[in-house]
Amino acid sequence: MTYQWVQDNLDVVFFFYGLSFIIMGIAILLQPKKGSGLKISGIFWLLAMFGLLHGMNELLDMWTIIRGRHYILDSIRWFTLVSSFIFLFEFGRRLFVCNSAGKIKNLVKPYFTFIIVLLIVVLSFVSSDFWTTGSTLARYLLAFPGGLMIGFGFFRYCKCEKELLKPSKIKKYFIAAGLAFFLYGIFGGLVVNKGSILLSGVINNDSFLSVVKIPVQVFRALCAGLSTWGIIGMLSMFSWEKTRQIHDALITREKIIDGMDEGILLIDRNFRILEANKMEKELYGGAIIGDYCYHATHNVSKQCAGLSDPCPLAEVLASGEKISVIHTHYDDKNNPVYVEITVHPVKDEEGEIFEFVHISKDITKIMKLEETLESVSDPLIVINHEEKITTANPMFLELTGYSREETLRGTLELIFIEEEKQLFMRNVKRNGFIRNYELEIYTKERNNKIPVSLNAAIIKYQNNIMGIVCVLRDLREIKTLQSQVVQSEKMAAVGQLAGGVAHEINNPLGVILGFAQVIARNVKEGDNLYVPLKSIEREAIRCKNLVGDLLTFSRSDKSVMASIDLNSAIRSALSLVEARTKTQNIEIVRSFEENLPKFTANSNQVQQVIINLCNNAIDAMPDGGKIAVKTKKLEREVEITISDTGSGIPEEVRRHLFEPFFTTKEVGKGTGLGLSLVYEIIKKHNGTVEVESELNEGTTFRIRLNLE
Amino acid sequence: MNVSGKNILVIDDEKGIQELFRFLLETEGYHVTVANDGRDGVEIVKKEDFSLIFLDVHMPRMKGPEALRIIKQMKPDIPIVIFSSSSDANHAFERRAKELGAFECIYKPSTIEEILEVIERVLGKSKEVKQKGNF
Repeated sequence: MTYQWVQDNLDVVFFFYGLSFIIMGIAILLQPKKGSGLKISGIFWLLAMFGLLHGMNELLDMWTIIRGRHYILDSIRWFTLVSSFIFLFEFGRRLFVCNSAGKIKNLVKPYFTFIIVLLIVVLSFVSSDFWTTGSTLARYLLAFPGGLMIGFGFFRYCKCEKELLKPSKIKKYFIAAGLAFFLYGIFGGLVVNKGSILLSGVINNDSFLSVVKIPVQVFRALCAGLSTWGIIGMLSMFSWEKTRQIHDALITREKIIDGMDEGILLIDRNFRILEANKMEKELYGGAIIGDYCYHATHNVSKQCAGLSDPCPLAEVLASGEKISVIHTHYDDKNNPVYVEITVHPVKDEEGEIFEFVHISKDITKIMKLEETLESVSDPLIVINHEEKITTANPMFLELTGYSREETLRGTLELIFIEEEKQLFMRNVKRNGFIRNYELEIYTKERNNKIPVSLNAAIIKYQNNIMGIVCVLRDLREIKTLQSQVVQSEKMAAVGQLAGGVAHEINNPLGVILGFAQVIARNVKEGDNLYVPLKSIEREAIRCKNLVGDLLTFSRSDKSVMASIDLNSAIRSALSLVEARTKTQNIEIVRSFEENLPKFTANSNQVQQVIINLCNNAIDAMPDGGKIAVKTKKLEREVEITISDTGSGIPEEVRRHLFEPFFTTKEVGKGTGLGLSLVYEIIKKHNGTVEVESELNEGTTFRIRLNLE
Repeated sequence: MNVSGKNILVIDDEKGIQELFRFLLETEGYHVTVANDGRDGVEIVKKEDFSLIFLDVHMPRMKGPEALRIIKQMKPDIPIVIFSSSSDANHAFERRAKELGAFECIYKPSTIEEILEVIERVLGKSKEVKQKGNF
């Protein structure tokens, strides 16, 4: 009964049959296959064409059953049938080719389709019944091999692409579709309308029905349904492929991000870490996701406000712009890690920042290098290719008076004027370096210039100038020393000159002094000539003293050293001083340590020292006083102290005390050589001279001479 | 003898010095003879005796050190006072003057007190020597 129902309602079977193929065709066409890596994606359109044409054919069959035949319909039905089989065959051929290899692949040539179609048309024309012959040949020559090839092709495909299809779980669709087309090849390709061509007389719709009792169209329709199910299932492969492509891309991106030297954090507005790449996880430990950034990187429980490293996120929030800073972070073992941080804001459509991308680069090594540079004892700066200062060590800051921030904001013009800078840059760029380039640099107080010697070298990377290292040497001390050397050379020249001139001066001076004194002796105090003669005498003595000082000053080291008895040398010096002290109401108190060992010294010079110091003491006590002269043996030295009870020496004078030609005496009264002579002489004896002074209390000179 | 006791020779090329000594010492009652350089001085000493000789160091023809040596050989008893203008910064000769037989070394420009004092000392001393010799 059931069979009968089927036979009576073939229009329903055709409807199902046709609808299945049309669904398949539409499904294929709608599925985006663009960019697919799967081999069959490029030929699926052929199957869609088959589905649509053949589906239409079946619907027209249904129409014919319901409404009866019409010659126009018949020709359309014929055309859709044959053309659908052409697409089926072509799809099968290509599927077969793309899944086969070697000899089999070469068996199925592209021109096969054309030859078969040509053959069908020609044979149909020559036959008595064009329509029946055409459709029957189309089934034999196109549908049958086409169905087999598709079935074979799908089986092969899932075997070849086993690895590819394994995760997608769509193998079953391939098998179903393969089986469906294979069977369709048989039911649709071998079972034809009854005719005289080939096997059509034996195997045909009628004989099939009589043997199987079910119309072959039912089987074809079942095949159509199964194949449509399989193909639609297969199509999910393409969307799965898309997902996988995205997944792969994500994996690749993650690999890249994890492989970067920079640490990357995604941080939300509440400073919570949303994501971290491998670098960050390794540095701060895996548990940083979900942690607050300040806790993870700075080990503090509040936003980094009072720290030396201000929060860059806060600055980004304030400015809305990306920012780069250098921070000292602490890793999970609490070791300092120097990081250069760049924070990019992530904004929503309205421009509101809702997340931050926090990229940190470990510059500990570079900072260590900077630490090394900083420890260089000469002032050092590094400038980049834009002449901006990128590194400045503390010595540089000390020399110039600029703060680190001021320096790192500045360029070379911080210390050079424009022309000097240009000259310097030209020289450096020409030679690659500069040695001992002497110039004066500006400090923070622009009117204060410092002489420096500059050594600089270019830092190159792949032939590009990356920067210049400049090491400065403060020349102030050297310059002072140089001027001192010049000064002492001048003094030596003065001395030599004095030595030569002294002879010439001493003779006439001796004559002047002598005559003046002789005459003065013979003139009474009340005489008109007495004062002038005394004046000549006094001034000549001044000249005599000056020449004497100059001579002593110029005397070289060749002076003979001999073993001396210090106490007796001082005694005889004091006897010369006493001539002055007696007239000025000054008492000399001697306190000599007896049995001082003899030691090597220049007796005349030591006496000169005593005389000079006593002369100064006398000058400091115009109203009288005491001069205490002591000798004392120390462990390896002998100490001479000469103390007065005079006016004392003010601090500012004390600083210049031993400088040649420095005098506080009225013009003409002092040469300014006395104490510098003392200093020179003691120095030549490898001794020391110190001075202690209290204003209005007195002054003590303490001299120590080596006994060895 | 009294006169020879006050007979002083000044060997110095400086006219001013010669005149000074003559003026100073002659008013003091000494007899002053001058020589323009070492050679003249030696010639004069050959012929004449002096109670004291003032000898300059730097002079033309014969300098002080050589004149000192010759005179000391010739007449070792005459006291010689070196009267130096200390042109040699090291005083190489002056420092050794006493070793070489000079009685004293004084430096120009000296005050007349220094000159008179040294004369006093020399003549007093030689008086003593003479007195000793008389015994």
